[in-house]
Amino acid sequence: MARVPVGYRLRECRRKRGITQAALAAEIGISASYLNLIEHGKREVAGRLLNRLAAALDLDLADLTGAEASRLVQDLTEISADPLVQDLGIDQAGAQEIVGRQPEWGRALVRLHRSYHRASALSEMLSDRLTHDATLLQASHELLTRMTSVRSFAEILSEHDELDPGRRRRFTALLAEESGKLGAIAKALFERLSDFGDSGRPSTPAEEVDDFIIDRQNYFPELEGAAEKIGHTRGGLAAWLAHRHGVSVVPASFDHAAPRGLYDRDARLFHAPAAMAPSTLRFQLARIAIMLEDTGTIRSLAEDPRLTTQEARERAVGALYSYGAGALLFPYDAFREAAERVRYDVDSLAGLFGGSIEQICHRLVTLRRPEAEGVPFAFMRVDPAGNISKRFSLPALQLPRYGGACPLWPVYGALRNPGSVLTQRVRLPDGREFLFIARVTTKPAAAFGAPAETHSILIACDAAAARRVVYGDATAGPPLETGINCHLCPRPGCPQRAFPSILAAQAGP
Amino acid sequence: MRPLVLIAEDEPYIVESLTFLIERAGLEVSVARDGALALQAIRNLRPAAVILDIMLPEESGLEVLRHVKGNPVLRATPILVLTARGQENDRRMALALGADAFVTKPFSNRDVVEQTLALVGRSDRPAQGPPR
Repeated sequence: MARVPVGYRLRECRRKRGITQAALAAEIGISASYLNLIEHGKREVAGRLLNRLAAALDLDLADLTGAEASRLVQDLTEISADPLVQDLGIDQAGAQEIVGRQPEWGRALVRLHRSYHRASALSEMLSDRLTHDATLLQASHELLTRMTSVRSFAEILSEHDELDPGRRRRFTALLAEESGKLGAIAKALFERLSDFGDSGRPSTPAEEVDDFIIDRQNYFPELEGAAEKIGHTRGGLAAWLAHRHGVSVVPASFDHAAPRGLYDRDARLFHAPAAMAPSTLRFQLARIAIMLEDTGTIRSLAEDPRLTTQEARERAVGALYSYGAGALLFPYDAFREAAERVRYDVDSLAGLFGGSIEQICHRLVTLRRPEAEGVPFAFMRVDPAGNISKRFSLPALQLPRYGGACPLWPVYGALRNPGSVLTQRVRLPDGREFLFIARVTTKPAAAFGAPAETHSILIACDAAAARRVVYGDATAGPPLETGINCHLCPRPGCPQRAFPSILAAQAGP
Repeated sequence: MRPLVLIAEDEPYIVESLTFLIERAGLEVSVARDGALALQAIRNLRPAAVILDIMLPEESGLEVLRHVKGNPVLRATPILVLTARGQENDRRMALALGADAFVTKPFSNRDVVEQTLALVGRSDRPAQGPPR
């Protein structure tokens, strides 16, 4: 499992700034030899000492604790599980060293791998399209026809020296004409194919937004500040929006089209479906409030270099509006204080703050304010088909980016037990233990015949924090031995194994 | 008289190159530009072999093949089917319908000529023109 190479990062930062080990050690009040041990990963570093080191090197703490670094290590480890490179015998531990010493090479590898994945998916999709798309079928027929005549005339010209000059001229002219057509068809075909996907991007907009949020440790002080500035909305959000921004809530007449309602910016109308849960309505109104009160902070946050396309930036803006809505409905200090008091009981918090289960779980993940941190939670959301549609990792618990997670995780079991909260202590192959809490949430269908929305939600915290969490009380007995996913799990004899493990394959004598 | 080969193909330039090649190989050529005309020509001219493109207008190459191989009188006519690369289904279907040989576009001239000559050699039709 990915271990954060803090020492390597420290050493690199110190060297880049031209500070000697002795000088840095003296500045923060430890011995040079101790610093040396830290830098070589022989001693763990955390807490105040880490804060002092970060301050001395003028570093963002997130940079040092390596939220991005441990994500990179996990991504690289997953890449080494790809069948394409499995025969190379890649040393898993090397991922940490690459990230510690040459993070840009790590980023390059991840970017290339994502690009390769997208290209593979695109080619599969295109081959599917080629066999079903009438336009493509016609174009490929044209292409083959021209290629056939070009090849045939070219062979005739090269193999039949006895051709009379008139015929030679005719065939040469036909060859030129058909070659010209071939070029035009190929161009048209490529243009048509490029409509199906922009294969030049290294990752999907959703992946970029995930990276952006995870690298910020799911905490945006700017948005917490903006939400606090709005503060308590006297008389409720709907009344506040009407009074301050002239926004009205009207019943929607197109439930099927927009289950979360639709905000008409120009008319300042929010069309709310009749079947919308009160918690969802409140959340949507809070998003509108954040959007209308924002003075450019959110747009400037979305200018982050990790977001490389307009689509990714738009998506990030949407995610940040939702973050702001959570901050507005569940104010940081009050929410964290209540969470500690009820020991992170999601149902109690939902009752206290009037939020949905998913909103509450989401907000728990963002309680990462330095000096006022809640229990750090990872978060994952899967649909009944197993697709992961939201994921926030912890540095020590990096959720899989490609494919599904370990099938033994309760997030899947919960789908078989809707209505129950499943709690499970799990031990990962590296020995780290976590408390997993999973449950199914269902948003009702907007109308008869419309599909309901079902997800299974997992939150997970370090087992060391389990006693601060009410769900920790429910777990007795030894932890369940699991992995992150099959590729990264060496456990033999697992009945749910879907793919061979690269770790098992590497285990030598 | 030289054995007759029917070229059933709607692309004029492919017809032109095939005609040149087949004539150079010492055979007679007749051309049909669509499936319906091809069927008519097979019935009337009784060629020694047919080069049949699978993507023909009116009646597709597969339809022509189905008619010919389902007809006790015409069944023995050897048919070389021109398929396109990647259209494996067409190839399987043609095989099931009784095609005698395949060449994949873009083909090599030598392939087409050799296969056609082999089919003409196998043909039980006398080396002569249509029945009188």
